[in-house]
Amino acid sequence: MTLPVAPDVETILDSCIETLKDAVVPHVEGEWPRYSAELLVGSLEYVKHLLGEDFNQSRRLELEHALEEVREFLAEESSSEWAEALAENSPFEAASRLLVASQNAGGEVAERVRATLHPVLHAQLDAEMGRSLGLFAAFARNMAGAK
Amino acid sequence: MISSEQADKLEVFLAGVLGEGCKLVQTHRMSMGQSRAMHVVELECEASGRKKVVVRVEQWGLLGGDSQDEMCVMRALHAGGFPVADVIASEASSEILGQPFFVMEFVEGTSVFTRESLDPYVRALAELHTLDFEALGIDFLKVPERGRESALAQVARWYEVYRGHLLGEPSPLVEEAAQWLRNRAPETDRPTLVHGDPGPGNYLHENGELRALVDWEFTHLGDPEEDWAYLITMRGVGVMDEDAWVLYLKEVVGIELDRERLRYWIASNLFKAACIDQTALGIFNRRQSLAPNLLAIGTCIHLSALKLLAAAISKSP
Repeated sequence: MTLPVAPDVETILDSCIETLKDAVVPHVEGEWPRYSAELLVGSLEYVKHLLGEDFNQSRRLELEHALEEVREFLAEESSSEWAEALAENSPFEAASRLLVASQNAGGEVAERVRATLHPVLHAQLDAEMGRSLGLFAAFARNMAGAK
Repeated sequence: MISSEQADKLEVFLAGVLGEGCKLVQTHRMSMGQSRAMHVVELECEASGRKKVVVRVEQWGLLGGDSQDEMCVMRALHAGGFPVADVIASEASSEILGQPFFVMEFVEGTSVFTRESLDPYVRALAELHTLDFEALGIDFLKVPERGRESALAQVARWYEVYRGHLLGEPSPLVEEAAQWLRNRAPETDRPTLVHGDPGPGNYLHENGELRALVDWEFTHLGDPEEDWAYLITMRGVGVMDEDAWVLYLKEVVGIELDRERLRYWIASNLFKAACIDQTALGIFNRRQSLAPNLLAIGTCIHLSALKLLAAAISKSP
């Protein structure tokens, strides 16, 4: 006999989260076990947001797209630092070197490099933070100190 | 948590260092302290009776560094009468608890913030910055040269931790921030002892009285403004806003903070946080420890520091 329908992963996770919140956490004694249980709820909420999509690949593609734009307006610049940065295989290495160079160079070109890369990087940062909000809240509750 | 096998070994170790037969009655892990696992250990000792000690266990290099400087500074400060728990013993091997650890006296009190505990705390922090560290025997920490060395040493230290624990590819925002900090490193007239992680949650008090400053793992010699910036932006951020903190510190301890320098040290502390927090994800992914606080530190806490860091450096010229 096989199961006619396999249980849905997200539903199982919701069950774990609800059960921990309602039936377990309120009854846990001891500061470390309780803190850990709250973090488990946050961890499971985080897992739900990580399911389904390959964020690593989508982030890489977004950055590569922004780097193409940078490559176009840096084409006429003579500085070897820009060219060496753009020659990196990894978009994250390339963006790193470009932003470091922009801090050293200053000026309009440097400003344009930052203005092209920052929105992509900040949007990715915001999205990642959004996915881990539950975990953040559970962690932050512990920062108030202990008796 | 401490397993029963580890507890047996710890009982033997503690009896040895305390010089009397002691039975380990119970242990419980405290939720304070992330870089080290903190356990309160209750003992029943033959001569001295019931007592508690705190065992502070390293966590596979979590947040960078080991306990050596921390222990030595705590011992020197305690001997000099500064409110710090006394270090009783240390174990450099991983044979007893799976990681090196040290044992310190248990200090009564709470780390839950109260407004009445703040004045004595900031006075103690200001006093820390005036101590003659050499006279206290603190001659093992690197003394930064005058000029920009205090600031640059911090960037170099945390960048090394970040790069040393990097998983996958670098974060362009971290790399940019490191260069921003190198380019703007301010001068420091007189390096002092710096706590490195000051503020609410990292001191114990009781009935309005300061009992001890805790969590010394980031202590070093450097610019005292680093501590004030950390207090204002990190641990004290929920207590009052930056303007109110600046006024408060001037009123209570007579510190006049230069806002531009403060801006730098705020960014420096956020950089440090972003770099050290990343170490947690490596420890978690390598399964050295599967504790969920490591997942949190390595992900959302790191990201949160990075977000604030990016905002801090974009605001400044």
